[in-house]
Amino acid sequence: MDKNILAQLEKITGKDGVLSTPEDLAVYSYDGTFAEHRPDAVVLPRAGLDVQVVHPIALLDRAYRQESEVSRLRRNQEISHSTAKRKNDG
Amino acid sequence: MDDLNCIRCGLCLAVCPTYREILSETASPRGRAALARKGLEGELELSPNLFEQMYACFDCLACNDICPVGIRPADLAVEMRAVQEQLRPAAWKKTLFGGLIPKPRRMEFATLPLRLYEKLGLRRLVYALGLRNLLPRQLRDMESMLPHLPQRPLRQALPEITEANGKTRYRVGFFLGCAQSLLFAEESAATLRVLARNGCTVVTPKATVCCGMPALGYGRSDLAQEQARHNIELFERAQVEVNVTDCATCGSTLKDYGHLLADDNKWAARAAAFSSRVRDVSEFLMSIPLEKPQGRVEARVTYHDPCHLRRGQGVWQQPRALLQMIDGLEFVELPEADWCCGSAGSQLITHYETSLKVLKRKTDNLASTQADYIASGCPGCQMQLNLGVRRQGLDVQVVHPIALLDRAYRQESEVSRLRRNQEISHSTAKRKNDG
Repeated sequence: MDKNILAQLEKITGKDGVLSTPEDLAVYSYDGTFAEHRPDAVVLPRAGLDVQVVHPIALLDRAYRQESEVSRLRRNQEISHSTAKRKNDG
Repeated sequence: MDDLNCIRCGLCLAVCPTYREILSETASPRGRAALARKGLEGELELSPNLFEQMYACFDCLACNDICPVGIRPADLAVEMRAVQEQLRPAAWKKTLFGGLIPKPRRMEFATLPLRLYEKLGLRRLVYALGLRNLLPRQLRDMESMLPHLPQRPLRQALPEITEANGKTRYRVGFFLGCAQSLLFAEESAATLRVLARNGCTVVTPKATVCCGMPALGYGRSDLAQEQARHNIELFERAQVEVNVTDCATCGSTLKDYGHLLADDNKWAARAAAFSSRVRDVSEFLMSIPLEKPQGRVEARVTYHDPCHLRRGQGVWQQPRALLQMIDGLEFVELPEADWCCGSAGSQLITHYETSLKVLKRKTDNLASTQADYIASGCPGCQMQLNLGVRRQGLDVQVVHPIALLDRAYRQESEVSRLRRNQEISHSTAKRKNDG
């Protein structure tokens, strides 16, 4: 996960409130079922207010990642366009 | 390992002292079981941080007891420590658990400064002048754990054979633990007096070495096995009916020798026979016709269950019954009496903050009983409780249950001396009147 995002989360919940070591992520990857999904970070909010603040940051992180996904797709698209163009020109 | 088949129900979380304080899955038995499985199956690197989670377990065995499918997460954490030693053996562990702790003479020499600290009056001076407060916090707390130290180790003072008072009814082997000999000598001396008083001729093999728990706890089961073989041989030679100990940790380890040496063809049967004869002193005393003491101890007492006595050995009724035999002693049950005190051997050194948090819960419960004494038959628990009492400023004395029984017996001789004096003075007065 982006280090800036982790730092922002730590500001809200304190250092102990954000877990991101491989061991922490591994033990928060399951519930009572046998399906597993490894998180990028684990936040342990201490109060309701923490949740209110943490939630937008997590959304922001998702937005950033979607944004970079979009730009990656765009870049790929551009590359394939230009490759096609070069082929056509050639 | 069947221990890896966790169904993730989470029952263990409710009884785990580290989880209850830290509230993180990583510090829970279920988390440790998951880490062990993922580590051993190659899904996760067997990193130092993974092994650290295994050392963060207090080995209180509460999760072992509550697990509905019989997984023993506490045992699993200890087994993982052994895995670490196989992968990356630490030289200091061999020195400490192989070269120092199982050598009684070296241990006696190494702890000499502590005895001098008490004997030369330095300790009294440190307290009187408030110098203790100058120590770093953790060191100050470690100092607070110390009981009143004996002038010399009990191993040096005890005879090899203590004869029964009167006719010998039982020939008993006494396993004198290291901490009992070095730190709680007066309590083990009381154990011997109580055994002798109840018709036991007691053999205390002087060459006994550490039971092996420290080595096991740090992943060196190979060293613990060596120590087990040595102790078994000694007690076989002593030709005793039972092997008694007054240390909960030693008792649980000695009772486990059969399991520890199960894969050793030469020793398996001998170890199993040895273990079957091991009894905690309260367990043994309540199994024989124990003489009720005639003396009184006027006090309010509560009892803390050492994890390795209650869960490790299933002994919890006997110490309570033993205390309730003493006239004058008002027994009050401690809330959450079987909740770990936070000692777990060396956790105050290695996991200081968590150890203190667990202890705080215990001392809050203790304060609610308004007891004069808290009894517990484990040197580790007693040291941790000493610290708790001092930190919280409670007016409570920490004792071994046998020490109170011994006091009641000794009061008895005081009572009979007073009665005898009274009878003599009565008869003298009568003679004078008759004359």
